[in-house]
Amino acid sequence: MKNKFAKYFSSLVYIKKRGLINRILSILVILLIFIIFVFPVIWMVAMSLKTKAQNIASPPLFIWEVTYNNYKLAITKYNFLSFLKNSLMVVLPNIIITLLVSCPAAYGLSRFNFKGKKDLAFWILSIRMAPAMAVVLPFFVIGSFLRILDNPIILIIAYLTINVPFAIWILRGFFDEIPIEVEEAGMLEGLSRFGVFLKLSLPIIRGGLAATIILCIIQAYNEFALAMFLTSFNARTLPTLVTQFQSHMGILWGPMAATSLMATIPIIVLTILVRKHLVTGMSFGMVRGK
Amino acid sequence: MLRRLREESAIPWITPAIFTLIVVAIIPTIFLFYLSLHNWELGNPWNSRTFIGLKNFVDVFKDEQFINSLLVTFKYCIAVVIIEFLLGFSIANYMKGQNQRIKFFILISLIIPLTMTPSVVGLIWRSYFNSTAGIINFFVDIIFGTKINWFSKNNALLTTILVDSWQWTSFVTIMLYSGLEALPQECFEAASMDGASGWEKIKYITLPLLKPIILIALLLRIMDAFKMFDVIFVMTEGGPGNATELLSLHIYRIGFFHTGYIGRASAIAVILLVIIIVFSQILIRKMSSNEK
Repeated sequence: MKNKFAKYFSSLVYIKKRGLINRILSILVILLIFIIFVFPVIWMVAMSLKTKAQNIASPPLFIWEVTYNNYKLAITKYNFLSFLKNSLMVVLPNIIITLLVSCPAAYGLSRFNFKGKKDLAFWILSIRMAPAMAVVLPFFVIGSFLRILDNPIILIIAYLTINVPFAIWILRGFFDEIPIEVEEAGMLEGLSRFGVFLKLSLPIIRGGLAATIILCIIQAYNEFALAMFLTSFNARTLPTLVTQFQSHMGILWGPMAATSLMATIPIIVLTILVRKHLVTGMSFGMVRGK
Repeated sequence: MLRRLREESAIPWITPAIFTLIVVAIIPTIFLFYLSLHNWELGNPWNSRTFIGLKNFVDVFKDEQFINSLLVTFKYCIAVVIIEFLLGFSIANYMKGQNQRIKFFILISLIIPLTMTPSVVGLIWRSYFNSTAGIINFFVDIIFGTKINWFSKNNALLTTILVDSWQWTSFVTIMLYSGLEALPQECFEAASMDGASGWEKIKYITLPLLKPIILIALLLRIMDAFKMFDVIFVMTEGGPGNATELLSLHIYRIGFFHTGYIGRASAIAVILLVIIIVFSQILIRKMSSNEK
């Protein structure tokens, strides 16, 4: 009897010990993941709050007198706002055209059957995969013929190659999820096909539609290679601004970090908002997110 | 009613999109082919171009720098895909066993690198890897008592691989994690009852069931890595020498930077495009077989 109790207690202690070790290990792993993935961004916040001398101090400073001067500089000296305006002047028209073109196409691909539909869908997807440099070269030469280099128009057009195929694929997946009976009911109510699309199907997928819009905004807003080569002075967008902090005295880390943060934070917030659809978006709808 | 549904045509719905894609994607691609068959230098009048057939392609494959750039791209691709898969799979598996709060915390941590603007990623890591004042060398110095020159000829490629892994491990992790969450729980319970160890469960249940998603995630990563431009452009501009000159950066150097050989650069861009098309065809085959 005694022996049994001893065994029971020792097993209890053993489990508890193991539980404790597991818990410590688990905290360590989570901490490690946090340090690896988030600390670089936190350090960027620190950089943006340091003076020039503090930023190049060796060893790096972990306690310092905070300065907000970099944010002031970013706005006054480095024209953050005009770059932001340029970005918006490209992103917003691009998104509007993308939606006007992609929503009906996605609906068409989802709701109708025709010969070669699958091939067409895959052809559309493969356009999204094109490398940026293969787009830059022809757009650069054509743009110089048409004299639209360094004009928001060329980026609005060029970003269609990214966003239209993407939006069609993602939206098609959302339309596929609407049961056909819902639409038939709408038609019995006397709605035309277009009426069903506009008044029934689009409102049903509004969550997915919002996510698609946000993902398209992120892609256009973050794009770098096309913006770098197709604009030079007047139409430069935010991602290219950060490359302008290289002076003959080295890189101006403070203003660079301040600008980058102001440019990135809206995107981080937007992405966290659509995190449920992130997997669907990143995999072009091949993997359904939860 | 149903007949009306069937008789309707998809043409008015998809025509605007197809027209747009032909104008913005197909015509420029045809023009890229056209450019690749010509000898034309940036800054010269357009009329000075000469048709030289496939000479650009022949020259490119004789060029040691191109071959080097192709090799660098392959190395980069293979390294990032292996690192990101191993890390991503481990983190995804780890996340699966945790409670809701921890899952959420890890997920948000993972999302942050994914949202960062690539050019910003390039610049901040350039500062963190700085050999004198960088934060990485500060820790390396504490742990190993020595500083590493991260941007030397031998280390630069490794540095860019680490940065890519930082940004994109999250992608693989989140994809695999959502795949894992969707797997039927009963399989694992049955296996536990049969006394399968953790490793056996991964080998005989998780990996086979997750194979389609793993393939899709890795193919997407291979394609992205193959056409990588922005982060490396900002971080090293392909240097030092051409140690980190991936194909896209090689195109940039030939077409815009050192020389203005648009024709030649176009030929390399066509080669890159063909490689990407091959990968995307594999991906598409994979997907259609999944759909069935």
